Amino acid sequence: MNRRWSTFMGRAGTILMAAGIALVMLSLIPARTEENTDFEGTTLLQPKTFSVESSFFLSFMFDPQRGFYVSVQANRSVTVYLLNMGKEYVYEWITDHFSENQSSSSTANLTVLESFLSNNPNSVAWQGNTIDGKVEFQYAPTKLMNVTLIFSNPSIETAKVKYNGKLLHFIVPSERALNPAKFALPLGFVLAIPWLNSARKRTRVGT
Amino acid sequence: MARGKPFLEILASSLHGDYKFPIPEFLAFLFLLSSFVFASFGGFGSTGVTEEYFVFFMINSLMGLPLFILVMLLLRNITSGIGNDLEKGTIQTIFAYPLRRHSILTAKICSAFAAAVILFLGTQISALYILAPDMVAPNPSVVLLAYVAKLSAAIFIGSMTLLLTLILRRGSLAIVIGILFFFLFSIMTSLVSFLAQAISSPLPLQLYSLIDPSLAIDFYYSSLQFGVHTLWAPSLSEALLYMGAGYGLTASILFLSYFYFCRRLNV
Repeated sequence: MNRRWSTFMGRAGTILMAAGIALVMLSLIPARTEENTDFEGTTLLQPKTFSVESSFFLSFMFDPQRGFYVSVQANRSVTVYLLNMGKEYVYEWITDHFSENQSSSSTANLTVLESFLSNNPNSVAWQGNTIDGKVEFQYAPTKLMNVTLIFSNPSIETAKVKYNGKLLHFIVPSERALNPAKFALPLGFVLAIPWLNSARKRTRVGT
Repeated sequence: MARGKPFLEILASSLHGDYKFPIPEFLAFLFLLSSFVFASFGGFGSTGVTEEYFVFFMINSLMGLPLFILVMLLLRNITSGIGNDLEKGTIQTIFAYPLRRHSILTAKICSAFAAAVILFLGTQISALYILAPDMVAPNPSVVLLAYVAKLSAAIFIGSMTLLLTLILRRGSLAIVIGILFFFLFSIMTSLVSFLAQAISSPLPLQLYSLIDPSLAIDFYYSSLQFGVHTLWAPSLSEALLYMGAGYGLTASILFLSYFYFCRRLNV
């Protein structure tokens, strides 16, 4: 390879490596808990029903640096859905498509939720089940969004659901910083090898 | 010898001088780190905010310190590159190349400006995409408009410093004046906003936007978000006109620099 090209590629490689190191460092910085934003609640879910949770803090608008942590405990297998839209939209959709007594209550028949999800397939930002009675997750949005937390009880017995959470402030969510770094570091190293090699040879000749 | 070869020769030697190892590596590291660390998107609560405005707000927040670093880098590249060549007389060696003077200056400007701006934009857009991929990808026009507008002042200051370096033939004094320009620009934004509010007229804002069109773009997005009840609500085409005027002014300063370098500079 031409020496000028080798230098160009090598320097591009070292710049990529430097960017990768910065991203790895950023990924090591943990999220900060926003003060006085703890929330918790308890819900009794009848068989084959779901409930829309209405914590004050979850009605906030979330952005790429503001997310939250939620831990859910239940005595039955409960499915937790996090929707990337405000609960007003969910209620509005249910009101438009179902009878009044289904939409006026914060808990409703599971078929309503299934219908909503099949008609809004891109609305689920996160989904999980209470395995061993517990599920917890940390969510950092990739855009400006309102969220809705939904618990659904698919079993034929009543489920008692307890949840708690807190709002988090990220410099950058760890996973999102680490993913590009995983590419930047090795790619940068590969690009830099010929240049580093020739630089080493030149230093040896010089000495 | 092909005409491109000496040009590349000068460009390569300028790049080598401006970006010695590990300066660009350290800059990429700093640009990325400072973009994230100093960014702050808070304060929207549960109020409705348009995606367009938020992307613009996010870009403003991300580029605070990196823009300062970019301006300092531009000033340093111009004054230590061209300034040192003039001061030490090495420009005479460069003039010995079979190349017209305007091509020599183009190579120097490409090294001082383009490489730094590419590094800056590369890290900024990566940072934006890492943070909010679902907002940046659908709004490329906002990203483009915001960066073109915000960079105009930096390039204007760089061009002024280039002209001063050529006239004074000394980098040390030109860099001081360049830094003063940068701080003057930072102060002026607040000053004209205050003045416009005091006299209840957008005229100071409009006049200043001719030099720094990022102000017009700021007001364009603010008026989109908060309605036309702001002091000045320029339309997109009006904001683009201010941007054209800003870049036109920069181009005329660069033209003067070329004219001086090609016709008036005696070494």
